[in-house]
Amino acid sequence: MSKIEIKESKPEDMKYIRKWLSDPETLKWYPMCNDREIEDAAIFWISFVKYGAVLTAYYNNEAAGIVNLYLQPYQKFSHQCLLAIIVKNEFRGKGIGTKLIQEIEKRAKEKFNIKFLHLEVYENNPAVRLYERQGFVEYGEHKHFIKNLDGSYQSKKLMQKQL
Amino acid sequence: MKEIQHDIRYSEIADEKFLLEWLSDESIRKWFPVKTENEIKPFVKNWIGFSKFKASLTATVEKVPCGIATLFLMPYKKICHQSFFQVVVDSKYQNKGIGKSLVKNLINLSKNYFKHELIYAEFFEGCLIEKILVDFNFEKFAQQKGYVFENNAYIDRICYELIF
Repeated sequence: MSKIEIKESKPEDMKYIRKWLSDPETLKWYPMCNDREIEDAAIFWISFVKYGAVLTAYYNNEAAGIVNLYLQPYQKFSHQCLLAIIVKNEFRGKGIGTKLIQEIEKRAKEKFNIKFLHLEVYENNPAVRLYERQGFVEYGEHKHFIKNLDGSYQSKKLMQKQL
Repeated sequence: MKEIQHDIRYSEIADEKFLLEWLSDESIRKWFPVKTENEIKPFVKNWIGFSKFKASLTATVEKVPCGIATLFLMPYKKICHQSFFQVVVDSKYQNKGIGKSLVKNLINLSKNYFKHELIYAEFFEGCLIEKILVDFNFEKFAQQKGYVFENNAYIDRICYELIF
């Protein structure tokens, strides 16, 4: 039987973020578009490991997804947090995203006393259904947020869940 | 509102001390994310850093800065066609047309120098900048409940954009 295991991420898990984002089918749902931008984003993402705010999912012992909390640096915002998630392309549709969100939500509430979790998702990203199922509600849409290299635009949907 | 005679110039790193001074004023700081001195310093340093790219404008009255408006240029190619911006006006000079003039000039800078296709701003509910944005035909695209928690109360974040 397939098994999903969630563990606290380690700094070396950055290699997974870098690798998964280098897949064009994954990268199209993120604002980065080249190796330098991926590297910058991966470094920032994994920097939250030191707070225990990043989780890695393993599927049959293979790294399959990562979720993190971008903890806010300001007191006025410390009760809310943006989350980011990535699931390796070949592991989608296996419940990994659901499990990662449920675990990070629990951690956000219990360890960081977060009251509101929010996220950003680009137009046509099928992951929006996962977020809706997990109770996230759209509170805005930023039109033309992304301009792809072919000149097409994508809006950014803003979603939030009160914990 | 009685407008005051003022000039607009590119911001300089030396304007940092005015930003620090204004954000130390509680009546201004309440509209920004920062609360403590430890939060204000890096916030101001990051803000004024955009002056190196000529992305920041300073309003002056008799050569003394009284307001700053800045484009926070985006770091990635897929989002560099647009920019977030922030404006602050010294409390002594509010309601004298300085904020409106800064926003007008910043729109011009964004559109004609940086060739942006849109700009956007976010502010806490109740902030007076909303009227200025509406006057310049910005459109609201988001209102996020509970974004700020201060004095035991939640305050919403409101976002407006202008597509050129």
